[in-house]
Formats: sequence, structure tokens, C-alpha cells
Amino acid sequence: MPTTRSLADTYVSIPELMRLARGTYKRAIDAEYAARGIDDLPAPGGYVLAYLANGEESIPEMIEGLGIKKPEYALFMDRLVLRGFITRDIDPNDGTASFALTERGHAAADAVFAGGRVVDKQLESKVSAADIGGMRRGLLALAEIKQSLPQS
Amino acid sequence: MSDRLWYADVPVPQLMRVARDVYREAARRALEGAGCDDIPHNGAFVLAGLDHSAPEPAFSVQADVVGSLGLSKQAASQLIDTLVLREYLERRNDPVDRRRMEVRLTDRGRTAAVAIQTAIDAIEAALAQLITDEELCGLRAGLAAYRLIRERSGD
Repeated sequence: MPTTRSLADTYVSIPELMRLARGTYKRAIDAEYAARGIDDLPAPGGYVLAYLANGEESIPEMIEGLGIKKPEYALFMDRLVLRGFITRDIDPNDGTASFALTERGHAAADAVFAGGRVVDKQLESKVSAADIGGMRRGLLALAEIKQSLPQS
Repeated sequence: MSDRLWYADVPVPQLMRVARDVYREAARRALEGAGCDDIPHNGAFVLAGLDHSAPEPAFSVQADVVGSLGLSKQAASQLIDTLVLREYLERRNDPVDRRRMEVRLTDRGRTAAVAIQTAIDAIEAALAQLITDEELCGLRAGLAAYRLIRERSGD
């Protein structure tokens, strides 16, 4: 006769652990948005605003990091412009777009960083620095594996 | 020159975002190859978490299956409905407590679950070539700690 199995007894895979972990950051960041009165930022707007605040990402890198297609990206950026998180400037010479954070966009990016710090601090109190280093190295290795996959 | 590794300062959510894509892409390809290209969002997590044994996989309590997904009750029910409709899951009333629902993999669900697991195993084999055992332990320990943080924050 088939028996009922408890999920608590099962091995938790890395993607499942990662899914849960990402939810932890999301919750903390959402709390920071709420504290700043931001309730209309479409997902994954926080990543885009954080990228722009850091000023380190080119548009192709941002699209790659978001895992979305270029047309979706353009529509998404339109929404961020419409909701007052960013401004768009078009270069009259080559037609390329560049984006900058508005004051509201800066507030949202600050919320992303603050939420991340809250969780990181809690993490540091729960696991060793060596484990955190191992986790970062592991995540980076997964990104390297992704780069090595043939493009579909 | 600093000994600090460059990736020590990359925000973890950013690392995770890229890292999860490798699993997502590998699972997508494996599922396509297995003829299972209509699995809804989060469905792979449900299928991968269920008993794969053949020919009679064990039933799991539906509430437990979707409980860890962090979805609303309605979204979780819709996800299970879709998986049942697309013949990945079989659903029944718990024979002991008729108020509870149970689910298990169908043959199609098992095909999908095996494809997902094979894809995950291949990535984890590749991962083991790139990092040390200690780093792998750190990866799991770190990710598991987030779960504790989330649970203690009232999830």
C-alpha cells in the first residue's frame, strides 16, 4: 500500500535552497520599500535600480543579469520611467538610450541595499565567514557553468 | 594590493539571480527533451520534491507540497490544478482524513521529475569540479541559513 511521505524528510536541492533564500531577501527589501512608501515598483525593478545606482552595468549586461529578452526589457524600462523611478535620455547622434535614477529611484535603490544589509547581517550571525565565502564561490561557479552552456 | 576576492562584494541576490538561471535553463532543456514543455511556473519545484519511485510513488499531503513555495493559497491550488490537468499529478482525498488532499506523480510527472533531477545532478557534478568540498558545504549551509532567517521573521 502506498504510504504518505513527509517533505521534511527529503533532501533539499540547491535550486530549492536558492529559491527560499531569494524569498528571504525579497521579504526584507519589500519591508524597506513599505517604510519608504514605495508600493508600485514592478518586479524585478529593484535589481534594475540597484544596477543603475551602482553604475557598473551596461544595458546588455543588465539584460543578461535579468534573464529577460530585449523587447521585454524595453517595456519594463518604460514602466519604470512612467512611474517616476528613472529618466530616459536618447543620444541624438546614435539614438541609444541612457537611464538615470530620479529621487524616487534613488529611494527605491536605497531600500534594496538596506534590505540586503539586514539579511546579510543576520546571515553573518548564523554561519561562519568561511561558509559565506564558500556560498559566494559556489554561486559564482554556477554562474560560470551558465556561461559555458551552449546558447539555445 | 588587497587579498579580498572580487566576488566577496557582489550582492548575494545578484549572484543568486545569475546562479539560478543555470538550473532553470538546464531544467527547461531537459523537460523539452522529455516532451514536458508545458510545466507551469514553480511546477518543477513541486514535481522535483515528490517521490519518484515506480510503479507506485507515494502520495504526499498537498498542503505540504505547496507549503514551502511561499504562494498564496489560491495560487498554490491553481498550480496543483494545472499540474493535475496536464497529467503530471494524480490527486485524491486522504483515505484517513477525507478533508485533506494528497498528490503523487503520474507516469508523465515521473518522466518530468527524472528529467529535472538528471539536469540538477549534471550541474552539481559540474559544480563539484569547480569548487572544493568545503565551499560546497558553505554554499549549502549559507543557503539553508536564509531559510532559517525567513522562518524566524514570521514566514
